[in-house]
Amino acid sequence: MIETTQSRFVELIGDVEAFRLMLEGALGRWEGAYDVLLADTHEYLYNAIESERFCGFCSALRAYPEGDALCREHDTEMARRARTNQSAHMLYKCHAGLTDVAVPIRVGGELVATVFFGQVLVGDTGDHDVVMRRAADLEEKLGMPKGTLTSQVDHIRTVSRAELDDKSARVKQLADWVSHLGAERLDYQKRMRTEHHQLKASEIIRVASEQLNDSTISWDQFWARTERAVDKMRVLIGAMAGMVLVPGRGARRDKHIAVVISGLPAEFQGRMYELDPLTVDEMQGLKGAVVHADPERPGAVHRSIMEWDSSFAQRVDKVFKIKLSLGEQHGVLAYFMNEDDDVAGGGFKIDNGSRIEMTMLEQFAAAIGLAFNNRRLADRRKDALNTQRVWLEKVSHQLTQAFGTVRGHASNIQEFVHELQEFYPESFGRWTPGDLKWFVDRVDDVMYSANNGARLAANLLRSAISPKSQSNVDWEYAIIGDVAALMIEIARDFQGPAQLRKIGRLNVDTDSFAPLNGRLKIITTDNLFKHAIGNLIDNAVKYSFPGTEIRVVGGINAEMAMVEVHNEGIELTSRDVERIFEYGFRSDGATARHAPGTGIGLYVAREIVETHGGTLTANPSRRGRTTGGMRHWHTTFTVLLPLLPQNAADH
Amino acid sequence: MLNDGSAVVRVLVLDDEPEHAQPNVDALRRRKYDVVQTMTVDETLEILRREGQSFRVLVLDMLMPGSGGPADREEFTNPVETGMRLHRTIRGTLKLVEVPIIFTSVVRDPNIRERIREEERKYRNKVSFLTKPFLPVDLIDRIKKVT
Repeated sequence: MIETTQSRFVELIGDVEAFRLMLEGALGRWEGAYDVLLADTHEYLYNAIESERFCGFCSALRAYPEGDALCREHDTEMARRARTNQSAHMLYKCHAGLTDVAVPIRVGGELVATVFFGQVLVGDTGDHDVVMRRAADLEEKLGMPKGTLTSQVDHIRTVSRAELDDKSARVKQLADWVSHLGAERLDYQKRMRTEHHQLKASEIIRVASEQLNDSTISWDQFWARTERAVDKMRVLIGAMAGMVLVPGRGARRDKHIAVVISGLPAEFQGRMYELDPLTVDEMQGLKGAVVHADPERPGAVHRSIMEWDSSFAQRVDKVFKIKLSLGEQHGVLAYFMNEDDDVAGGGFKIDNGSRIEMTMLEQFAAAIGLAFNNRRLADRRKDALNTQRVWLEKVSHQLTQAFGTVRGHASNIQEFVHELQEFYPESFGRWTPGDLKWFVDRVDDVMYSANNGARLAANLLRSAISPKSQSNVDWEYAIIGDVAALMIEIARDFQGPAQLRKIGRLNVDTDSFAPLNGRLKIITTDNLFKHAIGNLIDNAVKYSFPGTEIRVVGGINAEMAMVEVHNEGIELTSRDVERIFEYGFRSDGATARHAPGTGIGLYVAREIVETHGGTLTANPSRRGRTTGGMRHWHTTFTVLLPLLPQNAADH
Repeated sequence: MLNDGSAVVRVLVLDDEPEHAQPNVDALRRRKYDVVQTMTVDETLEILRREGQSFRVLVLDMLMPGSGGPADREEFTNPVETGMRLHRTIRGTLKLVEVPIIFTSVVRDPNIRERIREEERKYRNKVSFLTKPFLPVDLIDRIKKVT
């Protein structure tokens, strides 16, 4: 009967039945017993007890469980000795006094099995009497009926020493040959396994890179994911434990802190994900998690672990430390290896000095380091943006106040002049009509410039604090009863600048807004809606050609409230039609025309419209007429907003 | 229209930066409003304590530098908290529960307004807000609306 235990022997030698035939060929007409004890499973490859060719003495002894256990124990001990003994075979006496031979089979230096054969008496050595005495002792000890073993002693085959040596040499030859075959297969297996492991390692690195570069995760999640990746790699390379250490801060700058720990004893499970300095108490709470790990001093991690836990350290043969580049600092990726035990059970151990495996780990460390840096850069960028935002907010407030004051004064002067003109025209005495017009126009200019400045300040603020991001804000709304009046009010601020630019007309098509009356709901907080439409008209004024018309038109489009701003001027290309809503973007046409602008007005307008639950889009320009050698382009910006049901204002 | 013919209305205008309040004060005075201009919380409270009942409306800058309190307490140093505290003092300590208050501010955070409004519900909604920048006529329209 053939045991089909999956073992290294079966894996490397393959066909166990063929091996038995070869073994029987080598032994010739051998009448003693033989078997093969597998090194890794400690099982017999062939069940010799049931073999017809097993000698009567051994059959009788092994039929008793305790007798079988004694024989097995002896074989196992001999196999252990054969493992450490470098000789080709061992000749020895078994516990019952019979002579046995053990021939080890090694593949690539690894013991995979031991062939046992023998159970004979050698020549006239006097062994017969010894065996007879032990047989009697065993019968008594194991409670066998008298004669069970002693009656078989005379049937034990007696061979000459020369014959036994000859058989041993043949079995050894067979073992060598099989060992050679196994070595070839082992080599092939190693190559395959290396390839397999490289593939798996690449996969671990790929997944880790992808997961760690996710900018939406917190630092806690970053380290938790790093830990999972470090653990996967640990299992793959057959390491006992793995760690990522980052430099300490403050007083602990000479120490590294384990932020990721995988596979260490439970006492070592104190983890620390945050990178802020720890207090002494907190450090003590993380016993074992703070270790010396100076990458410039090889062995420092190992020594620290040894100081901390000798029972763990005793099992560690090597510590692989790979430098982890963390921008201006260096961390360490460390794996703790034990050469004898494949703790992780992966059947693969990192070989000392193997470039392939070290490269693999270096790539892994590089992936972690890169993700760490990306994440830290993203944090710094966020901080910088926040600082900028706060600064913009302050600047915007100051500017808003200043421009507001100028507007206030200009408005008072306008009012004053109008009152004097109306009630006290004589006040102007020697002023010519030209003087008066000049004065009024200049006050108007002050007003327009202040409006422009205030608009810029408001855009600055809203580009820094997008209304869309203020999801917690309880906006104030109003349903507009007279939408045309609202549009006229917004457009009024731009009449002056439009005239200065010699734009023919800035016209609000009042009739077109009638269907929206009572059906348009806008945010009144900070005049957000007015600001958005104002930015669109401001944009039209800046990029229109002299003599053209700007039209503000309303209506209902696909069950949405629509506001359109049409103008005639520079071209808006299909390439730029979306990009103009990006923060800071200015089209080539706008830049070429040297029109003043910051590239945030349309961005802010879209943010505001979207806060209303609507959309703001632009159409690529349509070709228009040519005047004075200048091609005119028709451009339309369209705002669509949710439309309230009829008579919504009544409810 | 230098005078709208109405009875003299007394208005208190508080702004720590008087140059910004000036256009509003000018416009009010030209319309014959009796304007008392203050620059600090303490000065305002002192006047209100003395003659609070004489004012028909208070125009208060909501963000004021802190005053009259320990520097390490937020309610005395945070400008927003200063506005809130001033409001509570006027309504509570000074018991001026009827006088309309118009808060002016560049602060666009409606949550702050909501906090004041919550308190204000106790005082019959006599508070309103005007976001800077606004024109003097906007303020005058608002004053007419609340008085």
